[in-house]
Amino acid sequence: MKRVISFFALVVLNLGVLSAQEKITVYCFKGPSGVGLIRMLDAPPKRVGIEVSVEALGSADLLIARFISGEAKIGILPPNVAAKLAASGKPLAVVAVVGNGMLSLLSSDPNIRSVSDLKDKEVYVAGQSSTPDYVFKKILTSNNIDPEKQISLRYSMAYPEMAQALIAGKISIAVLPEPFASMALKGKPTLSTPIDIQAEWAKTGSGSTYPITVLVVDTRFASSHQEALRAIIDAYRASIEWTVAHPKEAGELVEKHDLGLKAKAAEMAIPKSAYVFVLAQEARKDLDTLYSVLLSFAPGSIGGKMPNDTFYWKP
Amino acid sequence: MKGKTNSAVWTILGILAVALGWEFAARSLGSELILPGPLPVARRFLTLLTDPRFPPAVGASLLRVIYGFLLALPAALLIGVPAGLDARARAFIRPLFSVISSTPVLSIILIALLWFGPDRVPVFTSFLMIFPVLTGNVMEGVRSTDPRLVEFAHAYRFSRKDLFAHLYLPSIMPYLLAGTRSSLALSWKVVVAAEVLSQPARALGTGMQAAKAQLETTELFAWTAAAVILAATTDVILSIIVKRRRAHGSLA
Amino acid sequence: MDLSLENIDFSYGEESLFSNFSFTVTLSGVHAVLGPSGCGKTTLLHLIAGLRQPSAGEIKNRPSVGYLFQEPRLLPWRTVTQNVEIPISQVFGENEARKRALRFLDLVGLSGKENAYPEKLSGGQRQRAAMARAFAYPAPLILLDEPFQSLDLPLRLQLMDLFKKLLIVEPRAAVIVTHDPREAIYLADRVAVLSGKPAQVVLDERITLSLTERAYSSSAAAELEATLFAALTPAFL
Repeated sequence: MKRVISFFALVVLNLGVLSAQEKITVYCFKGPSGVGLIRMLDAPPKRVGIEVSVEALGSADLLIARFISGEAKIGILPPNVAAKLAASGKPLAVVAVVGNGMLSLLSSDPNIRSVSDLKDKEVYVAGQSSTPDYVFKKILTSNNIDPEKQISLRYSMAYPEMAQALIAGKISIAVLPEPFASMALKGKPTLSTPIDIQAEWAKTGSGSTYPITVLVVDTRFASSHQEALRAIIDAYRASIEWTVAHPKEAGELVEKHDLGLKAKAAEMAIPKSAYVFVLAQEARKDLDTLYSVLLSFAPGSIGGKMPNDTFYWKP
Repeated sequence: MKGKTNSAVWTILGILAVALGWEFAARSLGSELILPGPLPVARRFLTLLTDPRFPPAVGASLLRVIYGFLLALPAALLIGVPAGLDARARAFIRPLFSVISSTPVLSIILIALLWFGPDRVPVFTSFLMIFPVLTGNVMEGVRSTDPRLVEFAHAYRFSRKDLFAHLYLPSIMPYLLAGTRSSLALSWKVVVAAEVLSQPARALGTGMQAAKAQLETTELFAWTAAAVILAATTDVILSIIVKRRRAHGSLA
Repeated sequence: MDLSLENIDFSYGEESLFSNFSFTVTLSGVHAVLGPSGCGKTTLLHLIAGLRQPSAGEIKNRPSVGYLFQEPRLLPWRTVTQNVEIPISQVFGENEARKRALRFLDLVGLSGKENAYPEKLSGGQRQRAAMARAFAYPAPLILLDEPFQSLDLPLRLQLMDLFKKLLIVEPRAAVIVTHDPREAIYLADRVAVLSGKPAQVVLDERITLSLTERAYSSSAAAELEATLFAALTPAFL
């Protein structure tokens, strides 16, 4: 009888403790962009009174929907989407840049040697109206190729499909991020990378790199949960540093937590990807450059205007 | 006359109710990203009309719907007439048709993506969706042909060609037309859905997807409105054709 | 060469309509086949036309036939002229067929209605069109299956006279099936009475009455009618 009572007491106590915990979910989506926080997903930061977990949604669309509905308070997004949501009235701010661009242009056509050779060709790009899409289009226009009329851009495939199609020889030119670019090269070593996207981007005078993933927070949440936010920032930064230093273990965790990549693929891709953790104030210059390029090029993609100062989180 | 005016009035009231309900819902949600109101959508639709992508997209999507029918109608006659006449042929095609009609549209689209280029995926999908329906209509039409006329035609030794042209085809017509009307609505939905996934260069579905990718919900609604209007227009045109035939006095 | 059915067997499901049945039709003049409903008269015509096959026995010297049914059986989606010309356009070629069709429509009194659709014509007019179609069809024998039954008496007399007139202008042999003895008397050169199941020919003779004697109202006709009626009725007993 005593044991039963003490068992129930323990349960109630724990329940009480648990219910006093506030649940905070950091959202990411399956794919390379989430790899940087894998350590945090595996071992979320613990603080008294809060329970942090990381949830990986099936696609970026699902994550965007949660931000729109207000259900997501903190998570990662493409920078243009973050700006657009903020411009449409959502109280969001960028906390940090957690991934910079590392795109590769892969080609099975030996005649493609420079950007101008892409004229009138069919190029597969994943993610219509995504940052890679705009970056690529900016490179095209800087080389006097009209993206609407002088080249055939195709968006019908997702990254994994494009890699497979390149390997199978069904398509000949594609712009891919890691790890899909490495996957494609592994499957078909005869593919060439005639154009260095990042270098071409730099040539357009837009800085040497471009952010492709940012950590975004609901500003009201940020002010009411400063302690939790700091914990998440520290954990994320630590995760990025650990991931870059331990690609093999990170790859295993990625596969274990079903983040959409196989361990080997992730392991191969991590050194080539630019996972970073740069707080918003420091990353401001790079973000501004990206946004002004987008503004001049496709203003609707970021909501028609440059994000204002409140968009960049201050500790 | 009173009855007719009455139902017209109520139809208008119905339209107003929908518009008001929409406006109310949009205001309550308060986010143009989730549900834009009818007025912004109407405005965006008008600007869409002048968008250089729009007329080619309309033309291309319309052509895909038409091509689907151009493939499905002759096939329906080719398979449906013999099947209507002979129970063995009917039994033979039944498994194939069962499979086709119970396969989810999305599966067909995804499989077609592997086989065809972006422009043909919508046509193929539409064809596969409407072909069983139209064939069923043809079979029904054949089976309901007046047996007394069939007897007459056989007594007068009609050739196969004459049997088809003068007896079965006119007999099938009302059924085929009815089937075409319902298939038309289905075809529009399927073509646009397939376009969203296969992304041909010129297509309503492509426009919709681009709008969605940019989180331009208002534009997405405007493209959708375009698709709805087109589907309704083709339906009206078809029903006018049907009415004209009836007036001709040529249908039993 | 006479058309002859020899030792025909035909069953409809369980029912035996013809068992060891024999019948001859000379291909000249009008043969009336009289019998009660359901005795197989229509089936007899089907066998002659080749629409059905006997399960035993032979049909010799079967010619091509025109057919006139109890209902007009016109294609509702074609004009009157098209209805007449379609069955014959294979044989005559389009232009000839059209000319022939118009000529026969004129013979039956439907000139002026060439481009009308059947639904716009009266019952009598439709049956006339059907008659034009049957006669326009180039066959030595016309089969008629109670073609005047669904018409009222004045119309019936009109059409029967039209039939006789057509036979003069376009001579054919004809086999007309009917259950009305007076019709047989009025139209036929020879009458056969079928009776029983399976059907048997219980009477088969020439009608030697003159034209006036054949009229519906004549007493000679009445007498023959009684004979025929007597031959018919054992089926009911």
